[in-house]
Amino acid sequence: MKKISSITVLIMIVLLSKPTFSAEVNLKTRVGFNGYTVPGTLAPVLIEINRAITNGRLEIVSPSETASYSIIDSFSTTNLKRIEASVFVTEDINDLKIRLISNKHTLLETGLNLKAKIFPGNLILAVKIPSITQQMIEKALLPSEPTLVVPIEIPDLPGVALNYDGVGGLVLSDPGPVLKPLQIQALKTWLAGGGRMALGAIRSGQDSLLSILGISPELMERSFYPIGFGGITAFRSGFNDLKQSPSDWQEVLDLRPYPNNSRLMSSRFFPDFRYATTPGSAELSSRAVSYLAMILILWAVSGLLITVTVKHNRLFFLICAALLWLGAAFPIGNWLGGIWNRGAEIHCRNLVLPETGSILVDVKIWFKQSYSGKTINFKSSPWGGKVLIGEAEGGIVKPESQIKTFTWLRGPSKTETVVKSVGPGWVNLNGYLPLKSYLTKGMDRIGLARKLVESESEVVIWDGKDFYQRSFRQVGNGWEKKEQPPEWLRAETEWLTNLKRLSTGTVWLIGRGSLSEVKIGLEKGIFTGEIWAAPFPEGAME
Amino acid sequence: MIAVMISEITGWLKNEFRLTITVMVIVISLVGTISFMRPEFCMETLALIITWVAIKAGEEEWSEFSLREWDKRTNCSLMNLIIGKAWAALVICSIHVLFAMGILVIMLILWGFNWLQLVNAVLTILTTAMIVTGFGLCGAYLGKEEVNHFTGFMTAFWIIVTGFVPFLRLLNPFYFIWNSLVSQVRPSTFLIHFVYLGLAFLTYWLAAYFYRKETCYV
Repeated sequence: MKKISSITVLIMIVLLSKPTFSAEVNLKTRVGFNGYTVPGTLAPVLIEINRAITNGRLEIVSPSETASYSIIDSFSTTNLKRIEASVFVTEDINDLKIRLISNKHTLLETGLNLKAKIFPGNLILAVKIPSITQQMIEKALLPSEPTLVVPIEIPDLPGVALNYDGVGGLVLSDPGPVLKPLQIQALKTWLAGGGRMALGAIRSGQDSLLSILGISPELMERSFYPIGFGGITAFRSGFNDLKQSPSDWQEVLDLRPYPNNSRLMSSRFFPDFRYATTPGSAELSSRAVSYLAMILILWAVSGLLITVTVKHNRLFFLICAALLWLGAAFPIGNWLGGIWNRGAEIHCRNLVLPETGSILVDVKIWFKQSYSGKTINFKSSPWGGKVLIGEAEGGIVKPESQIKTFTWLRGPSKTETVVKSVGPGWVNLNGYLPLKSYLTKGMDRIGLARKLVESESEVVIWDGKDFYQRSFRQVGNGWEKKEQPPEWLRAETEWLTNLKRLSTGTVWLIGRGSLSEVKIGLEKGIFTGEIWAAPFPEGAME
Repeated sequence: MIAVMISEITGWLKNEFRLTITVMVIVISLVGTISFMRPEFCMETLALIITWVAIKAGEEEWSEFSLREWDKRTNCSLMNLIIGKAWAALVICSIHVLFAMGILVIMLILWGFNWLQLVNAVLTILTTAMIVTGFGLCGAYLGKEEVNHFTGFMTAFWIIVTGFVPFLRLLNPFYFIWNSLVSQVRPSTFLIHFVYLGLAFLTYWLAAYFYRKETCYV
């Protein structure tokens, strides 16, 4: 009886304790800036867990109501209590689902309204500015359209550069050295991509935010410090003392009617998903066909050799050959798979931001024709494949599936990528990848441009009108004007137009090849056909 | 039964080994090169080749001793002899599949379908081989001249009827292999394989029945 009662008590304790453990997990969620999001841009989603969950995953589900696929952004929660993710705000996604899973059990599930406060216009983030300044900024583009100023705190500034996608400008008094390293990097990346910041009451020396961003502050009433395609307008006085009119603010923040701004926005900079053929894909397929033919011939010859030459112990030799081929099949298959990439078309365009040491990438992967089972189609695999960015992030693209979701699995290390859109057989990813191997300390745009020219075999210079390719006929490796762009650039008219719009007058160095040490892969192969553009400053070729 | 199996395998190794292996490697290499090892086409081709090998096995084309001779020489039951021949045919077909397995694995890695689909397809091929061997053995009592027509007729009848009748389509091995590879709807493969095995044993029983009937009249 004693034994039974002690067992009963133990069972009761276990049963009662289970709900207690579950109740201890809490999620705090936030979307946008004070709930505001801008349609057609990436919005920040912030999730805080009150305790780390071992063997846990946090999923942000973007269920699409009209499109065929939903996106699940899956983060590992081991040693991670705060997750800052990005979600593309589209017409057909209204609510997000946030799920916390541990050992395949759902611990918690909650919803988040993505469009509770939607603002299709210029959204300006402001940290502790006087109301009169806020009013002036909000009138900057009147009468054509209002501008929304959203008050935030310093900790609310994004730590992920992609989350600045919908931000039209940033206004704050010099906070000093209070920003975290991730926030500094994200801010710098956004500024380099055309973002504009107004900084009031600048501090002197190392105490200033300008110093942290690598700028030596000047002691003038108003100074403009360019960073990449954007920059910072710094005021010595505080905002209370400034007499800036709405048109002044329009100029400071370079505000233009939505959505015609010039700063870098991933949705507008990279053209919509197009089914353009990746240059060189036909060459890859024909190479893979020849290699496969050689392998099959080798296999056939091995079988014929056994049938012709072996008179005794034929079964033994046949089984040995079979096992040999079985063992060799895995490395051969992986090697061949790396050449062919399951027949997917991969289209990748990059923008180099030298000041930040990073590249903004846009990757589109498409398994071109979904298989119906009724036609003979050798184009691409109907079983899809796994997309990988580096070794930490990946997701499986399937041409058709009853499970209409695309799960982007993230590893424990921090990366900056987002799944922008998916569909049957295709996925569009954006992200910031590091450019470390090309940048040494103190290197500027000129140094970087020279290094890129020396390292890449296929580069052209484009000044907005004409293309120039390297000519080795002239003394000193000059540049020769070409009638036509190279073949791999001919389908990129829309992207080149966006480059021009980002910065009128900039000369671009455009090349083909992989620049980041973080590789984009599909199944067994690494993709190296990326097209990139970097600003080509004057004096780079002297 | 073991003696029958060993005798059949030895017979194949002596007489038809060169032909069947040569045909298999040449045909699969050709189809694989043309279709870039497209799984549906390659597996259907392999299924055709293994069916052909199984038909030859059922028709006792390489047997040192026919069923009649085994029946006269041994005290084994007829069913044991038939199952011995059927198992031998299965082993010979499995050897062919084993030699092709390296290429099938390359195909799996290249195209990205999963191991379960490959195993399903291979099991279907082998169970089809067992059924077709049974058809061949059904005709064994007729003697050499009539066997071809009987086996051919039975095999064709099975493939055609199951191909055209909608609710019997999953019993068509070629349809089932294609379906298990490309369709998003996965039927219960365990049940299908079970039915195939049942069909195979039905054909062996039929073979024993025909043979006993013929033996009574003789």
